[in-house]
Amino acid sequence: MIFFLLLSILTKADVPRVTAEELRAMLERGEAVAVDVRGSVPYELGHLPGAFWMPLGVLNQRAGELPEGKTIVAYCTCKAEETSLEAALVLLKLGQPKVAVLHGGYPAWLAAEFPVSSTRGERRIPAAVSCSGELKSIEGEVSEYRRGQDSTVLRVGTETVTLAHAGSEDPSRFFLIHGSPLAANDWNRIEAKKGQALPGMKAVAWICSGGQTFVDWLPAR
Amino acid sequence: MHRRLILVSLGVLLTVGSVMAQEREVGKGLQDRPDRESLRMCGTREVTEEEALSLEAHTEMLLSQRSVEDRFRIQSSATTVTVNVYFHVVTSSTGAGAVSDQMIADQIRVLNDSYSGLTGGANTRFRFALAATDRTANSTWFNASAGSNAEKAMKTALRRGGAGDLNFYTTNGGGLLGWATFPSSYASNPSYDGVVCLFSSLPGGSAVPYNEGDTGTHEVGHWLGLYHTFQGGCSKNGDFVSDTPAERSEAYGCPAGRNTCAGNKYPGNDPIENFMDYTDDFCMYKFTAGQATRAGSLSGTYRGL
Repeated sequence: MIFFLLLSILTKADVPRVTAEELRAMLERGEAVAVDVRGSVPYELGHLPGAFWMPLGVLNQRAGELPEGKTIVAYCTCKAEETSLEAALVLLKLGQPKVAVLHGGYPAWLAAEFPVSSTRGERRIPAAVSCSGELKSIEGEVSEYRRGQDSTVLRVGTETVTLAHAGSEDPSRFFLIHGSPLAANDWNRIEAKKGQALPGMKAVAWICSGGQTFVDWLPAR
Repeated sequence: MHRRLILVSLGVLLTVGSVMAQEREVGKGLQDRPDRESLRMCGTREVTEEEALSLEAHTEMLLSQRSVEDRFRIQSSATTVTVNVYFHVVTSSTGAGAVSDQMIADQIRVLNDSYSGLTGGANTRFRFALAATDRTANSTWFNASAGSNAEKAMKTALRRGGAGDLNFYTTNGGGLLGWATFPSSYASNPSYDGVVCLFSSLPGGSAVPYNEGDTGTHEVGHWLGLYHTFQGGCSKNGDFVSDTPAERSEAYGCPAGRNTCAGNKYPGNDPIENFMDYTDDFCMYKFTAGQATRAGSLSGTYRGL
């Protein structure tokens, strides 16, 4: 009874806020999931990688899909967390124990230049990328790049991808550059030397469930 | 600093059945002025309490002539009605304002998200489907202001369908974000019926912070019969919707906790999150159940929806 009374007097001031940097770290540690509470169009145009899409109007019905044991971090486009705070209160009243909102909302995530995903063809799927399963794209800075004997490992944004190329040291058949096949004279646009990406290099990883991953390098034009 | 100045006007010329228009304005050439609130202008006069009451009485009389079942049908969201949307993209002769088919599709989706309650508000009975898109290069029409001869010529040439069909024009806005006609005006001036929106207010456009498509949602709200939430200020009738808190004046930005009609008579803070206020697009996300009912009544009565 007291529990329900406490829930009924929860206010937006009771909801913790996490910064974009804190949320990114929480996501990387697997401690949190992000929930996008905006409409379909802003979500499709861009959202946090791996975010659940649960607009405020359906949150009540779909909150059960959220994983247990993690902090649920709601976000909106709103700079002062207006809509996400509404969502957080809904989640708290539904019994979610750990709920927070992204301070500054999606604009803060963009301002931090953290990676975003899009389910929209704003970024056209390169012709070389074919996938019969679910295809997702991750765009971001390449923070790790190791070319091995049989595989190449890259970390694009928050995602680590492995390109298997058994029997060849050359991963280029899985590399694209601005959507086009990589040519021999393109290597110096992405690598400082073999196996070392140029500083600040960005790329899109096209990850096909049960299929091949491609990396589309995005050097400055 | 705000990149665009939004100036808002409610333009209503009302006796029952006459033209009513409401507008969200963009002050052209005023982008660098920081005090956009002080620059608010009203291009057309606001509806008076007497005029609004006259329309209410007339609508109630017409509603009373309907069967109980019919009234329930138009006032509840139990059954939805799909509105055909004729999209008219008007560009300058050099092609300025050429919104993409994707932006048009997105605008339709924003309407459906908003009017179905997906974004967090009440479910209304309205859904929207793109019926046709046409594109016209005409610099005079592109720059037409609300109520101008150019606007009338544009609408006369392009408008399609009947009272229940939504004609959605995108132009340079004539200094406004948009404007719309009310359901009650259709009978006396059918060729003028529809909504006009600044092309860059469509989702993904450049009219930050009014580029998420909520100008379209707002103007279509008028087209369905809704007033601004600050209509009538703190007066008894306000916007003629009982569950929208009273609001003395339009709100800009996203001023959480704003309460311009204080006291026991006026419970609740200003409805800054309501589509029928003037806040930034990211701030507005809901209609109330009362607005859903009112839109159903007015559109059912005057548009046959």
